[in-house]
Amino acid sequence: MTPNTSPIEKNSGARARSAALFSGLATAMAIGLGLALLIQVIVTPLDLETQTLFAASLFSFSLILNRFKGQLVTITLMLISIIVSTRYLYWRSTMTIDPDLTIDSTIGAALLFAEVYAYVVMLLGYFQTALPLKRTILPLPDDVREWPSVDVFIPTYNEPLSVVRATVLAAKAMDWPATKLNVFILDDGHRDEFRAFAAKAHVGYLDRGNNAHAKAGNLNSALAKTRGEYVAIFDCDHVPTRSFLQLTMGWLVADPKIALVQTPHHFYSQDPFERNLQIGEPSEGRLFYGLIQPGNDLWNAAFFCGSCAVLRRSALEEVGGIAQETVTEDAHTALRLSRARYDTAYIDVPQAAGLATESLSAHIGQRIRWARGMAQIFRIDNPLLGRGLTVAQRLCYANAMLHFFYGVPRVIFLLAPLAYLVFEARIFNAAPFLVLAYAIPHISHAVFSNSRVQGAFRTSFWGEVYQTSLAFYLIGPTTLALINPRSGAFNVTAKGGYIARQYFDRRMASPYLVLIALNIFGIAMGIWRALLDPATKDVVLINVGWAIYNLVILGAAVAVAFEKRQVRRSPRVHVRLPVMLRLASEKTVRCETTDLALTGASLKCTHMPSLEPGEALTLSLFIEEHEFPIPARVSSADGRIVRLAFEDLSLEHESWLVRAIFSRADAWSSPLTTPHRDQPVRAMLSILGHAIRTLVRTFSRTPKELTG
Amino acid sequence: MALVSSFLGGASIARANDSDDSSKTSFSFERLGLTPFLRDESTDGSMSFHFNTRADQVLTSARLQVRFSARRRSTPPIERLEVAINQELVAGFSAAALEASEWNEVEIDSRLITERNLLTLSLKTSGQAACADRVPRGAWQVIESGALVTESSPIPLRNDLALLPLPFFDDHVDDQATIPIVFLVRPTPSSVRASSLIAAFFGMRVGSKIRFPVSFGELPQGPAVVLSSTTSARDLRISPVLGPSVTMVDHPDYPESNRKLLVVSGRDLREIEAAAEAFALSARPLRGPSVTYDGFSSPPPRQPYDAPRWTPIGARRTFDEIAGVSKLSHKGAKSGTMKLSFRIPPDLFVWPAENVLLDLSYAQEAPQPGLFPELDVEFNGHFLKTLRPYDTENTVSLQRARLELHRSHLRGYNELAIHVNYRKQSEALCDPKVSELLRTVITPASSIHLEDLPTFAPLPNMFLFVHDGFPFTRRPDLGDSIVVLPEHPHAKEISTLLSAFAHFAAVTGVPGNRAAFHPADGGELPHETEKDLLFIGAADRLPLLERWADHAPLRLSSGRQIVQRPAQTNPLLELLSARPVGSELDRARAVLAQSPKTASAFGFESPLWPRRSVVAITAPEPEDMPSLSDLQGHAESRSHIGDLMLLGNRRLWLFRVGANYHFGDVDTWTRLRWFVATHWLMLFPCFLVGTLLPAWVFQRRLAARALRRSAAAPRGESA
Repeated sequence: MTPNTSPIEKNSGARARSAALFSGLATAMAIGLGLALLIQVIVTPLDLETQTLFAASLFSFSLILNRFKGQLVTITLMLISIIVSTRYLYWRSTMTIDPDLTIDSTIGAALLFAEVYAYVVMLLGYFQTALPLKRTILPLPDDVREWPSVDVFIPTYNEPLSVVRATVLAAKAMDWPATKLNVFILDDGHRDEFRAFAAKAHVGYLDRGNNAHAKAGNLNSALAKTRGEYVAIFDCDHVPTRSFLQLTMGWLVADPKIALVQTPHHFYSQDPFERNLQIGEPSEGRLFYGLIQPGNDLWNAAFFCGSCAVLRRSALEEVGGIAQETVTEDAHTALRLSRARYDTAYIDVPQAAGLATESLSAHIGQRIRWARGMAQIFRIDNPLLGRGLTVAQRLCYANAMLHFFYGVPRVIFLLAPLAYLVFEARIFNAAPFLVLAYAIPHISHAVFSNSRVQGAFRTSFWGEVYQTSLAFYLIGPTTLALINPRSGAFNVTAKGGYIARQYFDRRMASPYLVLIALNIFGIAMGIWRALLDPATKDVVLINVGWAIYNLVILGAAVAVAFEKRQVRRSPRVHVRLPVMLRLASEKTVRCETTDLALTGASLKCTHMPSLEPGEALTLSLFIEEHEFPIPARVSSADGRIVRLAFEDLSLEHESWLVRAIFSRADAWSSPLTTPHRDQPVRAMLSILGHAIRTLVRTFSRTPKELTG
Repeated sequence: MALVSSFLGGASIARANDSDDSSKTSFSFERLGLTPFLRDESTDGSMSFHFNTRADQVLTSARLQVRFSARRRSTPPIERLEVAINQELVAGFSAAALEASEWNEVEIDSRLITERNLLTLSLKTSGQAACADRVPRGAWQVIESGALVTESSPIPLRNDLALLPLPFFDDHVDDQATIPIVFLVRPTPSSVRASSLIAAFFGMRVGSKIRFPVSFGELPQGPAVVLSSTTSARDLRISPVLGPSVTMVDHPDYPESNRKLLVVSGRDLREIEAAAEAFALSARPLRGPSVTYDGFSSPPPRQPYDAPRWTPIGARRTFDEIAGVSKLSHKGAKSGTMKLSFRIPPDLFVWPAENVLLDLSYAQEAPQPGLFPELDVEFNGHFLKTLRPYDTENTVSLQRARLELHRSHLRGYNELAIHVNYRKQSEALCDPKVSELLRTVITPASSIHLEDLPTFAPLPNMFLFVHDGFPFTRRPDLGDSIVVLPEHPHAKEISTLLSAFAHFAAVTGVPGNRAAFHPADGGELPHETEKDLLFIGAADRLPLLERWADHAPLRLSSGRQIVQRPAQTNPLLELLSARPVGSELDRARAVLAQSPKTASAFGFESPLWPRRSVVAITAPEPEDMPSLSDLQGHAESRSHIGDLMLLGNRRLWLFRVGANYHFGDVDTWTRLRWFVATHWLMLFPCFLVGTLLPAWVFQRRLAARALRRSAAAPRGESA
C-alpha cells in the first residue's frame, strides 16, 4: 500500500474493516450453528439397529470423502472423527457407568480415564496437524557483508572422537564467510584427545572444568565465552550439510522476532524398530519432523529439539540461556522463548544427519529421558498456565507433554479385557453389541483420519506398537517426575556402538512377555467360560477379540526386543557418487559408490580390472568439480563390486570424505520426498505377521536362549 | 414320597357342557404338566402334579387312562410304573403291561379325590445305581399319553355371597369364566355403568379372562348376574329387597342347585347403580344371602398411578414391598421354579438407560458342601443369567447378583422365574435325609431399581391399551375417562365394554367407578375436555366418532372400513422417523380385504385436548364386537407400538399408521433427545451442516494463517 492515503482508500479501509467484522460475525454464526447441530448428533442415544445404520452411513460418507484430495477434506474427516468419538464418549460416560462404587465400576472408571486421555490426545493431535505449514526458505541478503556471525556449538560428553570428528569437519565446511563462522567443541568429557583434535582442525575447544547441569550447563557456559550473533547447535553425531546455514539463516535475518529455526533430525542408521523388525515402515521420528513440527509451526509453536537448530543469542540471553531445570532443556528453552513472545520457525529440509539409537535399551532410555523431561516441564512450567502464550501454543505444548503420559492408559488398555475374561468384571455397563456399535466407529474413524493425515509419515497401528513397547518404562519416570520434578539426572543417549551378535533383550521384553501370557490365559479363560455358559458368549467374544488385538500389538512390540546384528562400527551411508579409482599401475577405472563410510566404501565399476585384496590404490572423489584423492586398500573384489578400506587418513583426507558423504546439500533430502502410502488393513496384517512370528520365536526358545 | 412338582396352579381343564346335570372332566397328563420336554429330559424317579376339582360339584366316578409308547429308548428297562393319588397307590403297571401299546384303563375310587389333589407317577427301573430316585434320561418316554377322567355332579349351594366368585368361577379349577349379565332394566348409561362395576368386581377377583354375554330380559340356563328393579324382580319370582342391594337367589328354573342368580336391585336405576358401586367398592365382608347398601359414599378419587396392584415407582423396591409376593423358596433335590409376578406402571420410561437393575440376593443351604443347585433366571420369557454357586466349601451361602432387565422386555405385568436346577448329579442328592435339607431362598431384601424413572409413553399404543388398559388405567378409578356408547347399545357392545372394565379392574385392583358415560349422540362433548375417551360400538353407531373420522387410522362408513393416513400426520416427521407408513397401510388394507368382518381397536390424539387419547373398539356389525381378551395375545406387527389393531379370523395384527403423541413428564432435555432419537434421520442433515460448515470456515482461516506465516517475507516489505 502506498504511503499517501486518499479518501477513497480510507473509505475502502472502512469497508474492509466492516467486511472483516462481517466475516468474523459470519464465521462465529457458522460455527455456532454447526455446534448447535452437532450437539444433537452427539447426545442423541440410538438403539442398536439405528446406531449401527447411522454409524455405517457416516463411515461410508467418510470413505467417499477420502477419495478427494485437499486440506478441506482432511479437516472435514478430522471433524467427523471428533464428532463420532465425542458421541461415543458422551454415550460411554452417561450410559455405561455404574454409579455404585464396586470393584467392577472402579476398573470401569480406570478404563474411562484411559479413554478420555486417548480422546484428549487425539483432539490435540488433530489440532496440531490441522494444516502442517510448508515454510519456504527465505534467501539471505545479497551482500555477504550483511550476513551475521554464527557460533556452532558441538557439545560432547562421552562419545568417542571417531563420532565427533565428522561433525566438526562438516560444521567447518558449511558455506558461510569463514570469519563469521566459529565452531566450538564443548567437551564435558575433559579429554585431551579432543583438545588436540580441535587444535589440528582449527576449531574452538571449550572445557568448563565441571559438568553441572549436563548439556544445558555446557551450552550456557559456552554462551558466556562466545559472542556470535547466532548460535547453531549440533549434537556431536549430527553431521550438518554445507547448506545448513544458508537455508536456515534467511528467516532469522529477516525477522527479528524469530528466535529459533529448527530443522529435522535425520538418521542414516536404522533405529531398533526399523532394524529389528526389518520393516519398510517410516521411523518414529519421521512423524514428528514430517508432520508434527510443521503442524506446530502453523501455530507458532515449533520447538527446539536440542540439535540441528539455530538460535538468536540475544533472545536466548533474554530468557536466561538454555533452561537447566529439566532434562529436556531443548523443549523447555523453546517454551521460554515463546513465553517471551519470540517466534519460532521450522524448516522441513533435512540439513544434518546423525546416528539413531543403537539398541532397544538405549532407545528406551532416550524416550524415558524425553518423557521425564516433558513431565518435569508439565509440573514446573505448565504451558497451560502462566503468561505469554497464545491458546494455540498452549495446546501444542500441552500435547507434546501429555503425549508422554501414555504409559498408564496404554497398560490399562492392555489389561482391560482381562477384567472380564479372568474376573468376570462388568466394566461396561451396557449391552455388548451396543458397545461395539458405538466403539467401533470411534476407533475406525480415528484410525482412518489419522491414516490420511499421518499416512505419509507413519503406517497405521505402528504407533500402537511403538507406544506399547515403551509404555511400561515410561510409567515410573513420568509419575516420579510429576511427583518430584527436580529429581533425576541427565542421561546421555548411547550412540556409535554396535551390536556384536543377535540376541533377545529379555530384560526389556519381560513385562510384555508377562502381558502376553496374561492375555493368552484370559482368552483361554474366556473360551472356557463361554463353553460353560453360552449366554455369555457375546461378551466373551468381544473381550476375546480385544485380547487378541492386544496380543497382536504386544507380539509386534516384543519383536523389537530381538536385537539384530549391527556389524559395522562406522555406519555406512548409501550414496551414489561418481568416483575414479587410480590403481598402482596408473590405470584409472570409473566407478560409482554404493555405500560410503569414513572407514571404507563399496563401489560398482563398469570395467572391472583384476584387483587383489590388500592392493593399495587411490579413490578420487569429485566435489564441485574438484578432485579429492584418498588413499585406500582393497578389502575384497567380487565381480563388479569392490570393497575398499581407508587406513590412516590424514585430517585433510577425512575432511574430504566428510564433505563427500555428509556435506552435500541434498544429502538427506531424497528419503523424505519418497511418499509413503498407508493402507490400514495391510498395516494390520503386517503387524499380525510380526506378532505371530514373535510369539512362535519366543515360545519355541528355551529360557537359556532367551537370556542370550 | 410326594415331592411337589414345579407345575403348580390349576391345570386347564376341558369341561363338558354344563346343561347336563353331571359333568365330565379330563385331566390329561400333558396339561397337568408332564410336558414333552419333561418326558425327554427328566431323570426324576417320580413326578407329582396338582389338580383340583370344583368346590360346587361332587365326583361320581374317576378313572385313569394311560397308554404306553412302544418305541422308547430306555436302558435299563423299566420294571414298573406306579400311579398314586394323594399318596394312595391307585394303579401299578408291570413291565409286561408297559410293553403293550393299547389303552389301559383303571377305575379309581372317587372318594380318594378331594378339591385339592396330587397325582404322583413313579418309575422303577431294574439294576440301577445307588440312587433309587433317579431314572435314566428318556425313561419317561414310556408314557405316550394319559389322563385322569372324572365325572361329577353339582352339589346344591346355599345362597351365600361369601361363596363368590362361586358359582361363576372356581379359581382353583378355571382359568377363564363366562358370566352372563341379564338386564331386566333398560340399558341406559346408568344401568350400563352399574353392570360395568359388577364386571369390575369379577375382574378384580377372577382376572381378565371373562366373557360377559349380555341379554335383555331373558334368563340363561346357568348362573347369571341380574340387574333388576324391584318390580321386575318380582316377575322373576324373586322376593324383592328394598333399597340398593345385592342378593344371591336360586335360579327360578333350578331351585336348590348350584345355579344361582346374583341380583343387583334397587327401586330405580339410581339405586341399582348405587348397589353395584357399593358392591364393587365396599370393604364390608360379604356374608349371607343378601347385602343392602344404605348411604354408601364412594372413596375419594385416586391419584394417577395409585393402583393397588402396581408397584409404585420412584424408589428401589424390595421384593417384600412388591404387591402379592409370597416367599420365594425351594426345597429338596429336584428341579423346580420360583416365580415372582408384579405389575409396574405400563408407561415406565426406561430411556436412554437400557436396563432396569434387579438386585437378587439368595441364600442356599445344604447339609454338606458342593450340593448347591444352579439358578437359571428368566424374565418375561427371556433368559437372563445362570447363577452358579461358587461358594462350594460351605454348607450355607448368601450371594448377591445384579441382573439387568432390558427395557424391551419390561411390561406392565411381569414375571420373574427362577429355575432351580441340579445339573450336577451327585449321589448325595439321592439321600432323602440330604435332599430334605437342601434349600434355596430368594431373600425379601432382593430389589428392583425403580428410582429415577419417569412415566412417559409414545401414544397411541394399542399394545398398552389391550394389555394394561393404558392410558385409561393411569387413574385406576378411571377418573380421567369418558366412555362413549351408542344411544341404544347392543348386547354385544355392552359385552365388549364389560370385558374392558373387568380387565381394567384386574390390572389395577380397583373398580373404575369414576368413568363418565356419554351416549354417542348425546350431543357434543364440551370443547377442551381434558379426558381420555373410550368409544365402544359398531360402525355407523357412533356419530361423535364419525365427526373425527379424519383423525382416525380407520374410517368406518356404511359397512365399509377404510384404512387411511390420519389427517394430522406430518409427512416430514414421518420420513425422519424412517417409518414405512406406506407399506403399513398396504398391509392393513390387505388384511381388511381378506376378512371383511374384521373387528378393530385403534387410537388417536383427542381433538379436544392435546396429548389426551381417543381409543375405539369397533366392528362392522354389533355381532362382530370383540371381547377385550380377543385382542390380547400375539399380534403380527413390525413395531412394538401401533395405533391400529385388527382382529380377523381369530388372528391379530398391529399397525403403526398415524402420528405419535406423548403422555407423561420427562425433562426437556430428555424430551428433545427422545424426539431426535425417534426421528433419527434428522441426524444426517444436522451432521452434514454441522460438519461441513465449520470445516469450511476452519479451512479458510487455517489457510490464511499458513499463508501469513510461511510465504510473507517481512524483509520484502521494507525493501
